[in-house]
Amino acid sequence: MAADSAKDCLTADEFRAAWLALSVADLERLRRYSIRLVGSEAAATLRQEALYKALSGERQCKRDGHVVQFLAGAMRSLAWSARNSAKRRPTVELEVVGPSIVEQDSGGDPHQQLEQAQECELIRQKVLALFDDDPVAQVLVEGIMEDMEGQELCELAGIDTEQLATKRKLIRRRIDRAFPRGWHHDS
Amino acid sequence: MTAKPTTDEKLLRLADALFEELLATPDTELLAELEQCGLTVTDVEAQAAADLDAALARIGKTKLLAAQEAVAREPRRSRRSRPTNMASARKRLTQAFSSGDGAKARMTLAARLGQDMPDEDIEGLIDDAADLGIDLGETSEDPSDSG
Repeated sequence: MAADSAKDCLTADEFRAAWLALSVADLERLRRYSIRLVGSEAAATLRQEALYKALSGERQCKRDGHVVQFLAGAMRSLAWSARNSAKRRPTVELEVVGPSIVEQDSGGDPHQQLEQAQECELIRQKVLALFDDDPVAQVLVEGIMEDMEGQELCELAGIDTEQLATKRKLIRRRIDRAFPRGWHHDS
Repeated sequence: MTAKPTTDEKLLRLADALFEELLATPDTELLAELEQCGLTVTDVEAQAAADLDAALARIGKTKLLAAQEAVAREPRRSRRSRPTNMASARKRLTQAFSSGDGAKARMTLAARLGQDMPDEDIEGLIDDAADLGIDLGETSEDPSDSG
């Protein structure tokens, strides 16, 4: 029932209060994820778009939900929608215009999609190369990209959950250092 | 059959995993990393405040636009006292402006009412008077209106 679902969700004022109550660490988590999703140049716009959706009621955060994860999900969805739109129309690319992310027709280039795929493959190779000195971490990164998680990853790399947590931290820190402004802007 | 993931899908999965790791990282550890990135707590807070301001500004603009569109959709506000007989309207205005205190000072205007003031201005004056609570609308009995 619509009324029940509205009752289960935070109002705009409640969401704003919840957002203002976020810790600096949570704000930093969202900042980094936004950079990872769309690159540092469009990251602020992506965060603002997600906030706008929540505050305007276009997307509603469940009362029992986690604001950080809700916003992360909103940003992911927005970034992925923009990417899918661009794929449907190969001549379209993500562009930051004012406070919203829009798709901009760049005039038509049938090779653009292929180039983007090649660029992504190059990034994937660069990421894997970061762990040339650590075969366990390298296989974990490959496993993650194949959608494996938890126990599956442990079995893949032959490690226990504690070792997995340690390796995940190492992977995250090394990638953050190598790609501080997003996948397409390595250091 | 599940389609083979594209490379950008693989990178998205990796981004998700990195975010999960960030969620699992203790706040103190993350704040220490912040310094290593050359950022301060103030920087993060300032960015967050700017994000909120931008989102709120956009909501304001959206509301304003919606209000403007609503006004544009509505027919032009009907004038409350549109006279059907301009000669009668001019006469009522002349009487109104010629009577009471300060009437003399308003005589120039009153004099013009009977001469070269366009009908639109007459209607505007009647509207303005209505805004001030002065009813100069059509009267049912005005012998001079007959012709």
